[in-house]
Amino acid sequence: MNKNQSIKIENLVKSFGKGDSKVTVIDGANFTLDKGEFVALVAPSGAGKTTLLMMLGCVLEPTSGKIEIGDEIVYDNRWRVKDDRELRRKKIGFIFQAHYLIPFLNIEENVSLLPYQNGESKKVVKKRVADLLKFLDMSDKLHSMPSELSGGQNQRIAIARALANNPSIILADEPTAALDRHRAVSVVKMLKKITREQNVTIIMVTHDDRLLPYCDKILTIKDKKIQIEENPDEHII
Amino acid sequence: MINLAYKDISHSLSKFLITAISVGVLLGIVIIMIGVYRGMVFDAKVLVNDIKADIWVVQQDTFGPFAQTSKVHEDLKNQISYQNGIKSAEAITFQTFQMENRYGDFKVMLIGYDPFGDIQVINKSKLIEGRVIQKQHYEIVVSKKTNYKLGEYIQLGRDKFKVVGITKDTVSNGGDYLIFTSLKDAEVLQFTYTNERIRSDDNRGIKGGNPHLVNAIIAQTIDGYNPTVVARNIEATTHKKVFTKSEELKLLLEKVIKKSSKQIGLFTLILIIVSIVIIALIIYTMTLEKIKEISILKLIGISNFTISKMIIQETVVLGVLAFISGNVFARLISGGFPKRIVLENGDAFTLFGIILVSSIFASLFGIYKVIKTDPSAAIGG
Repeated sequence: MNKNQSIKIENLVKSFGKGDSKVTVIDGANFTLDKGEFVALVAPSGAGKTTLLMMLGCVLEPTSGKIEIGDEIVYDNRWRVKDDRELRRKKIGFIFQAHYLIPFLNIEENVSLLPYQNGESKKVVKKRVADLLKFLDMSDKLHSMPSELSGGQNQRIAIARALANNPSIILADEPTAALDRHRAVSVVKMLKKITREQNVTIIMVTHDDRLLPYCDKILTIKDKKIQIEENPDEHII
Repeated sequence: MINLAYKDISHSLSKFLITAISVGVLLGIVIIMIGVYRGMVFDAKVLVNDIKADIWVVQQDTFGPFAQTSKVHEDLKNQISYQNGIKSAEAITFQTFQMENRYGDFKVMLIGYDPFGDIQVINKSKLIEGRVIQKQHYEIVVSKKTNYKLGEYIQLGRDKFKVVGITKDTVSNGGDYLIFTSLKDAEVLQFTYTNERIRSDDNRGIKGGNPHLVNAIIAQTIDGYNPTVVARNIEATTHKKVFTKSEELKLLLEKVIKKSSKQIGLFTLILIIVSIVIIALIIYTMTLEKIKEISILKLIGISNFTISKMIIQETVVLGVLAFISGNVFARLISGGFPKRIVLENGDAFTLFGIILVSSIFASLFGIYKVIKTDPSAAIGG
């Protein structure tokens, strides 16, 4: 096994319904991603991007196939992990189209929630949250509530939350959809920086072709099949 | 570790408090209803407990004097007082009528007793002003709730009575305020008719009623004598019905207020069930209102235990706040009711236990619902 491997998918199939109403969304997907790669997932609406992301995040059960995250087989025609939440808590970070921060927690609490749940000490968590918010230029918002911040600021906090548990992969479902062009580029540059500096693999669903140059690889879903290609236009940030 | 329940409550504190107080008011109404029931049972026993008699002698084949009309001759007291084991015996009358003063009209029960007798009829611990009756005529002791003042004169029948004493918490088994006069005055009030009535009776050939009829003879037993044995002996030697104090109390509960108390008891039970359903629905709705946030928590990996703990903790806090506000509410308004409300801590805590258990049960439904929810539903995936 490749020691640098972050995600490996083999013959992954996902169908919904049964009998005549059965619809196959992903049919025999195979790809491998390495640690520290920033990957775009591009496909038309309804092609199965979110479905793929949710299967990788152990939220949605595949119909068949195999999923490996790091060196752990999490699915092999059935779930192999005992606690999918624990896996997500410890290895996966999520960023969504909207920030989906918990409205009754302030910024510090939103970011520190997962590390605390993982049993990390207060001292370690406080330092990590402070470092993350500094990295995202949000240190002054530590005690603000999500409702007091702009959409862009909240999305940066959502990125901080996704990073707070030191994940090996981040699944980002159109993280820039709600942002203007300038902020979208800013967020994507930040994600790219994260992959480089923290050796995290990021799969980002996007409809915005202008963001593709920042990605290392591009995954596309066409006719239920997944194609992966190196990005010829990649900009080194 | 972050306490999610505390954070959620703090974030929407006013909404949470309003919900808790609303639930509390509902609990308060239930507590009041239980208090009404308790008050009815308590009132039923006040008079018999206040009168320091061990034995009640009433008309044969009746359940008098409270459950049924009873009339016996006043001089029966002499016959009773000579019975074996009897220390003293007195005649007593009860009559209810409507009174009116500047504060409004109200129903009273007039008790006529011998002020120079040996048996205490007015409970002295309840005499808050003045004294008991010390003259055979024209003195009256009234309940504080009648609003009469000490020294005031009250017109009753053809005579004026001076208020010489005021009692508190003295009511009949029906909750009517008690007033006391001498037996002689009570008999006059009961048997003095208007001139028109006397003429009408004469025309019908009816001769005047016997003014020396009373409703019961009360008696005290000599220490060491069993009141039940003494009562059965009197029954065997006179043509009268005799009840001990405990038998009279039992009669009051089983014959006089049984239906009313059952009615209120059933109504209270229904109110408790309705309250449980309403509170359970509030808890369930509160949980479902947070389903999006909970789905996000599930999606990012927060455990079911942490989520369930948050919901249960919020339920318990809501229950405790509702319990406190319900009790405060009940105690604030209980004084405004015309009849006695007996609020017992035991009832309140039992109700709290029932509500808390049912609320937690309802929150388990909510927890089951949120745990079953697909976390990806939160992001519309």
